[in-house]
Amino acid sequence: MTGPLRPEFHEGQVLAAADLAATVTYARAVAVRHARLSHDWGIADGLALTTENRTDAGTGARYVEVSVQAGLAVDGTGREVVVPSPVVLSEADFEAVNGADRPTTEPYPVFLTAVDRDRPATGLASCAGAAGPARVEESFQVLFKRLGDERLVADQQPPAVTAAPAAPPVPWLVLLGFVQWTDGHFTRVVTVARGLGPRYVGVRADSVSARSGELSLRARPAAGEGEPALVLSGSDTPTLVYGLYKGTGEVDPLMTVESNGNLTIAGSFSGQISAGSVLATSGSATDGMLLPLPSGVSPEEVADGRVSLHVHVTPRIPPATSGLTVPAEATVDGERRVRCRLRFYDPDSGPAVTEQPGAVDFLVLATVAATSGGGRG
Amino acid sequence: MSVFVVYESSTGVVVGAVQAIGTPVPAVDALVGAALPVRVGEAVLSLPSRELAVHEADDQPAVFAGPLAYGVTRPPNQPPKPALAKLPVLDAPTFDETGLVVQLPGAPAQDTAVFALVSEGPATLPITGTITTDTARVSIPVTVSAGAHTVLLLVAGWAGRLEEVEKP
Repeated sequence: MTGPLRPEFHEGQVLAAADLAATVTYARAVAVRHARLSHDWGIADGLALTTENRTDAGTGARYVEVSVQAGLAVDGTGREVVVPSPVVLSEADFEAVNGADRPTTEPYPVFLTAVDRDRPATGLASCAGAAGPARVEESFQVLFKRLGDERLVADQQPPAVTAAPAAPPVPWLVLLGFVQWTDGHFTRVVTVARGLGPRYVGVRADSVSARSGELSLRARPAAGEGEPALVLSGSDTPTLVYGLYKGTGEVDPLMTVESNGNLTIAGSFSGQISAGSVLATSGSATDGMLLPLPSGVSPEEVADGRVSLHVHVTPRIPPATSGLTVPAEATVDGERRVRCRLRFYDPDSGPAVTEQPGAVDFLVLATVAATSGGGRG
Repeated sequence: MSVFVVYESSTGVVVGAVQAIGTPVPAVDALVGAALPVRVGEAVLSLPSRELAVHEADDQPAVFAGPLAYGVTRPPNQPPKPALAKLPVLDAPTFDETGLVVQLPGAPAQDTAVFALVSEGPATLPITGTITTDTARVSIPVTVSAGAHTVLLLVAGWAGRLEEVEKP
């Protein structure tokens, strides 16, 4: 297997067209390999589907004119697809593909793909005559596909590591979004349909470093107010901060981890309880009811022994104007079910002793045994 | 601190209550399991959780002394009222030849749901009926042997009763 071939030149060499073409091919191959193997393909910038309201002159029906905004995508072969200026989507092109369909509100996928277009040379003509175009425009094409064809995106396979840029380019579908079609016009743009939407470029990296000493991650390209951010700061007091951007562009901390391990949060903490900790709940319950577990403890964790319960119950003796009330039973069974009976005796009412279901006050403590792993696994 | 009461769905009569700190509104299964055991002496009636619902009510400590004396007020097409209603006491049910007889002091203003559990040996027999506006009583068909039976009687708008009833 031959690796990439880099052109070399020496004095007196007679240069053929292939030698000059090799310099271009080598540079293109380096670029596409980097784009294909160091990044995840997708939309890098722009390429949004936008709408302008229109009215059909014949029917008076309202519809939208759909445009693809200028932008850049990198497809799965590493090829850049540049849309230099906004392009209005062709209703005729759509109708040629999907016009025979029955009326539906289901949105149709719209794709972008790379194409090469030959352009004439602008310099001097060759003495040997024209052998082919001297320029190739790396252009694009907007494609309409059938309902459900958005699933084709996931089936596309990138070329081999050593594959050179193909000419013409290998067709690769970049999903831009979806359009609805009603009575011969586009009527709506939808970004996500049937669980799929445009994908955007990514980066494959095992380490990311900052030159300024502060590395920020945010959910959108622009730092908008209220948007979340994660900031790793390597200054004199290193911190990891999660927070929301303020209008000033600063991050308002919601969670801060300091270099000594101190954790500060602005909200409340919930989640799995750590080993050795104790959670509690208390209250009252009537006979037959299941005692509630402390917040954050699940019945499954109690059942499989990860969490141990310690329960204390005290019978509630209702106030009585006469007679005597004593607890006959006040306990909790293995299901955490309350068993409470109260025994009543009132000599003024007769010699009989009666029993009725009662209620208890309870305290439930949940503890997690410490393990060598330090958690409750 | 809220009180979570469990009530029988058709009548609104409370059958159990739990009050706990920092607990979100639980599902009925979390409060009673598959069924709520209702005990009188050694007898146990099993009230299935599918017949029950949970309501987060205002704190009313007295509900723990006698939950059957309280009911959940459910206005039509509205959520239940936070405050529990203290219900009037109903006469004890009786058995006749064909079933369990439930008697109101007078004909109700609207059809009134009746739900009862009757013990028959180790089994629990759930029965339901309706007291219509043209009468003050209903005999809900149930076949039980002669002798004492534990009965849980729940009638919409009336305090629940839990006692032994003699079948002649």
